[in-house]
Amino acid sequence: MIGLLIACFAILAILGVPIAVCLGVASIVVMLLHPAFPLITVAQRMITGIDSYVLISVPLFMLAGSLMNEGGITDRIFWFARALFGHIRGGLGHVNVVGSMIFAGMSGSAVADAGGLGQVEIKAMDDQGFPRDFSAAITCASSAIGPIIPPSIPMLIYAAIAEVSPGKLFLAGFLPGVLMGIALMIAIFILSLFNDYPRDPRSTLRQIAKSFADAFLCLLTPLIIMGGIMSGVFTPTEASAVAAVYAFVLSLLIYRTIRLTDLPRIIVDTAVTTAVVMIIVSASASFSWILLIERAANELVAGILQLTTDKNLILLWLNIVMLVLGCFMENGVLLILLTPLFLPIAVSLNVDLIQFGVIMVLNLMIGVVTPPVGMSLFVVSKVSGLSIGTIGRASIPFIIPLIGVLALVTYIPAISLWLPNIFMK
Amino acid sequence: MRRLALILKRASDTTDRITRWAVFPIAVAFILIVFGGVMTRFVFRTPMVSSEEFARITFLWTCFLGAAICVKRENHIRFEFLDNLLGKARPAFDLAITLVSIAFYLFLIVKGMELFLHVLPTMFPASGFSQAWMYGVLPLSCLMMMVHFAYFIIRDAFRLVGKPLELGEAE
Repeated sequence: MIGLLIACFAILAILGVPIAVCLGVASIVVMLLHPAFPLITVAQRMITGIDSYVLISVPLFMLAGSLMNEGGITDRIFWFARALFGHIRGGLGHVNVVGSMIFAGMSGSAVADAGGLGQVEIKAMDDQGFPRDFSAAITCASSAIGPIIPPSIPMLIYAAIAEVSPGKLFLAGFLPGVLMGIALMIAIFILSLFNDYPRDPRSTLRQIAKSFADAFLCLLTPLIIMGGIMSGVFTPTEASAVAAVYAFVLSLLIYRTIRLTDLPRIIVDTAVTTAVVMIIVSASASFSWILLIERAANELVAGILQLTTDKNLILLWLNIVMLVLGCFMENGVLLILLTPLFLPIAVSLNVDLIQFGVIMVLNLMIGVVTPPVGMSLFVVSKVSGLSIGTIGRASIPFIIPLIGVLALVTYIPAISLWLPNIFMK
Repeated sequence: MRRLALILKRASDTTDRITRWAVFPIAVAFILIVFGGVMTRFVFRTPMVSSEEFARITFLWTCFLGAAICVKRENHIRFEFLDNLLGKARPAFDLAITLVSIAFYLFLIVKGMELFLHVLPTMFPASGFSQAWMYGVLPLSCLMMMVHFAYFIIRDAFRLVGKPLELGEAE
């Protein structure tokens, strides 16, 4: 039964049928052959699969990101980061990473980062004489930090499937995200020394103060989101609504960079972007339900434990599987498909499910940077005008440090669990 | 046949326009309901107990109506490995993919309606609204998708016989 389910899905997916339809049709085929499964379950689980208070925050964080991008808030973040880090060797490369880290605290989507900040960053780096493939590769690699530093849309999806606290998961992503930023900056510094890449003159205190004042209201966003969640003032879902309304107030009323007439387009586009992911989560619910009923995950766990009981080795395999699959499949789809299968393995290995969530999301975020299928890669390719192959090759020096951080997060639980253990016991 | 194609295209464009008009106020209501939940609890000290139920309903409507717009824009996620390898067989594949999608969404219309009627008497505990408000969006959005698919079938059929339609870009 499991074989038929997976074969049906795989054949349809390879033929190019939309993933949501593949998941639904595979479930229907199996249910037709298994009289114990009522067919109405497919329709019911399409609704209950996304009827989750946690998932409600996905479109709201997406909207916050879109409003900030359209409202020019990304420009202010860029100039602030430039005033602080532009003078280091390879200056705008570091600014690119720091900008992504700040934006990560507001949006939670790698694509929003690559598309919004990417345009500003690549143009500025072009003007300063950086090779275009280097600028595009950093933009792509640094966008992977977006969903690691809270808030994070993939973490919300994982939290909904794994039924863990999204607030704890958010906090768990903070240190790994900062480590990713530092690792990328070290790589940029080394490459810049070898290639003699330019840097800005050191900013004066007055310039730093001005850029800080310009960006001040934007910089409050991460504080409002995480401060609100950690202090218990609001839930992660409510935090997403506060972030969206705050982004709306900033861009429409304070900075006046968005007109009221732009709103219908931005909101409808956000609904469509959300629907692209949610329809897959929705259709995967009956697929996962069949896997659960047929005890697929238990068989997978038993099979793996027969091969080895070495926790570190199994985690290494899981990472390799996720990294390889991440090269070929869209990260949201992978997260939805793999989470129900891998969770029992994590439980049997006594891996904390919060730490495992960070490991999974980090793996899949490296996937957004690696060719042939990587959402950030596609966006940066469009923004920079370079081919996916060119950016993919230039990204190799940045993918290596990201994998280094993944290894640290996998084998040192404290990196992800220290903050949630302190603040959200 | 071309006349039929034109009628179906207009029907698809109109359905899309109506969907977009519907999504905007629903999405705005959704944002305001979730934000209102925070405001009523912490500013006015009177929690709105039914806000979570309204938020779930409007969220589902936003997602499924958004999915109908995705069908019109043809941007549902799919693997594109074979697209460049297919050459002249591409229109036949496109038609086959459309037919598989139609079969799935038709199934959802039938089973979604059954479910809708089944949950009609069941009420949400806080708001007292029928749960049909939540489940009704499934058959409705799939019906909207069908209008788009009807046009895609005829468009793909014209491509298959080597006479692509030129009816102007979709709105």
